[in-house]
Amino acid sequence: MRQSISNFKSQTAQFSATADAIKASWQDNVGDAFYRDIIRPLKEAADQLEPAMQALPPKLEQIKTQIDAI
Amino acid sequence: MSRSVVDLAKLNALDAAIRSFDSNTGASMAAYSQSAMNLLAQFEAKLNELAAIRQQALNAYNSCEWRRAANPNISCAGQAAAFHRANERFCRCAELVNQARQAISEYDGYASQFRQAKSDLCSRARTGLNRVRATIEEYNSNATPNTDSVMSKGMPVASTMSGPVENVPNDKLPGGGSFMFIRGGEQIAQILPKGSGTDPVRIDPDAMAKSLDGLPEITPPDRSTLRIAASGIFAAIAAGGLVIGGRELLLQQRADEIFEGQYGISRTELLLRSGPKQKEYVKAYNEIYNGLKHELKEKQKEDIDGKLIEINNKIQANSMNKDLLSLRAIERLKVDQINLQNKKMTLEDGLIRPQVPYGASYVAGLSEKEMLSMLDNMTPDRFATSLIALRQSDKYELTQDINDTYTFSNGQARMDIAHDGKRITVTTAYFGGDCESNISIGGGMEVEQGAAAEWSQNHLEAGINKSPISSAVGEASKRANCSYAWQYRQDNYYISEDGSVFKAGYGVAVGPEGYVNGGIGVQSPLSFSSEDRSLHLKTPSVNVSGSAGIDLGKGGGHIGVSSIPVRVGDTIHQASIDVSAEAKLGGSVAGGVEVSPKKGFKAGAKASALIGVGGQLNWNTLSLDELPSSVAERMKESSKTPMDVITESVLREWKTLSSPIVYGTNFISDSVERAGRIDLQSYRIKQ
Repeated sequence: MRQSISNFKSQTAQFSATADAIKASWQDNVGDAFYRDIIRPLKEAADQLEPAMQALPPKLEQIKTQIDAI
Repeated sequence: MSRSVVDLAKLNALDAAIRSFDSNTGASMAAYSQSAMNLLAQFEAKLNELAAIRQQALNAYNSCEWRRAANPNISCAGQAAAFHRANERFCRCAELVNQARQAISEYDGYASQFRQAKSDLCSRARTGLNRVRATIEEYNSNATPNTDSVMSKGMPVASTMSGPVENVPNDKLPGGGSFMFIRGGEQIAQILPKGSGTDPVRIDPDAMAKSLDGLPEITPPDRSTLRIAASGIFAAIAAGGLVIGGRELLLQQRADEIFEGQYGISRTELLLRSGPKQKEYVKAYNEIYNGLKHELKEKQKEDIDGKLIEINNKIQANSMNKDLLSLRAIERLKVDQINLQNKKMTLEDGLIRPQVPYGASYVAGLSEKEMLSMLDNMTPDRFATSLIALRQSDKYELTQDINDTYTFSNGQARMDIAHDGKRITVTTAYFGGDCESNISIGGGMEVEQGAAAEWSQNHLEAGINKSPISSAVGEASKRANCSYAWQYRQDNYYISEDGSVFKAGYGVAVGPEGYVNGGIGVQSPLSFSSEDRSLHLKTPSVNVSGSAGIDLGKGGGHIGVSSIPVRVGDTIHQASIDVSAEAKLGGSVAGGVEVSPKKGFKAGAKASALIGVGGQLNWNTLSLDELPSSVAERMKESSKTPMDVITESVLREWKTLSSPIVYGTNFISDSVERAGRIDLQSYRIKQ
């Protein structure tokens, strides 16, 4: 699971970097519109999901430890 | 704004980035979920195992009980205990499995939201990208500009030129005029809207943007990055007021931006070269525009003060409202100001309309409440913030020069406020008039050579001069007059270490009648006494001024002394005495030719010189009630910052500017001036 989280973070970061690079070279209303309406909301959605992804593995591991001790 | 077709390579790169993100994150999330489910499966397997153990224990217990029924001597306590242990283990495991299921379910909620959002956004991205591609393809397939486009059929088109444009039909605009961009006192661009006299002013942002080609962009502005070269104050005075903005302009600009964002090409260019899809584009644009207009209509109900606060907060958060045409133009062009060549304009219902001027120096478009609310609660930092906020409104034009000066003007007056922490400079320029109503009582001496008789309807004289030396006493006069002038003055407030504020300034006034007056004033440090809560001058102030007249060759000097301002109750009083000496040289031809059978021929000429000494005593009051309540409250507080003192001083300055009537009481009239008048007359009598 942690590997999946790492992959997810890496993909989000890569997308951010790529989108920012495109935006930086795209100084017009089209670039502004796509950045505002698509790219930024995508980044924000990914940022909102990441904490939930981080929170689950420790919980499950703790549960596993307790179950194994039964 | 783009001035060329969008780069397809960038579109494709963005498309690829979004697709890759969509696909890769989907795979990561699927793997993550699978791992979670695998763990859950392990937990459930353990639970099943424990369930089986419990069942075995139960079976053993039941079997024992069955045998005990036949033989009471058999004990089943062991089986019972074993069953209880197995049951506890099972229940404990079941509880943990439930916790695991809940945790996974909670995560699934977030994951589902993300997947939905991602699906929506990616779908919109594909739609938008395809639309832009299709638009570009159609655009590129039409090589020849479409002269029959709607753009040439009456939709607003603006032209930009590098210099003044003649034959501008000013009457076509509400109040006439055009937008002129000035830098360093030189006009560098002009926007000429077309339209009927009843149409609102329309500007094509793309056309204007073309005029900005080659000019450097600047980073999103904050106080420290806005730099505009200083312009000539008199040029600003001569050009009149500055009113820019207009919600209609913003609507159009915003609609254009949205349209271009959706179609990849500016509306102007697209319509000029579009083919069969032209109507579709027009319809799409109108939908965007009407949607914005509806939004604006709802927003127009907001309170002006609330909007200023909102804008101010945005400034505080370093988030500028880029939609304001004037701000962008100022940023891009680094101009000094944008002049609307009709001086007095107001913003009504989102349209720029002319306002018929009334009153000598009444400030059009500015209410005292709005001005006082700006100066209220002022600190050096809030000066800039509030002025920028005021600038951001569509009622006032604010610019900033390289010395961190903030200027606001409203059509008739202009005030620049600059501060560097040690000194605050307030420069005021306006064209206006002062009306005075004076009651003069005085007396003096007149010296005359020759014989003269003088009578004037304006004066009631106790005597008529017939002798070489005469005196006029008990003269009283009452007059009212208004004079107009362009006035400029600068006051510098220096903040000393002990918190005192020292003021020094100078001013110049130029009258349309051709007179020039100037003055230099020095005022001793102001300080606020916490004991009696009055404003005090540490020492009496001295004002020195000089004046020169062009039309009458008038010269003179003036010395004034101001008293310590004191507070009596809720009123601040200050008296000043000004003594002036004036010399007037001139000539006039008076008299005429009289032909009389008896007296013959008489002709005369008259030359006169005037040396006068006069003075006036002024008594000025400012009521605390006329100050904003917060300022008045501060005056009642025990402590006061130098900025408070300056604020009030600036307030009074502005109040004076905005007041149509300046009251003064002259106890020594200009009749005293005539005390030293020498009239030279000569007559030639032919007998």
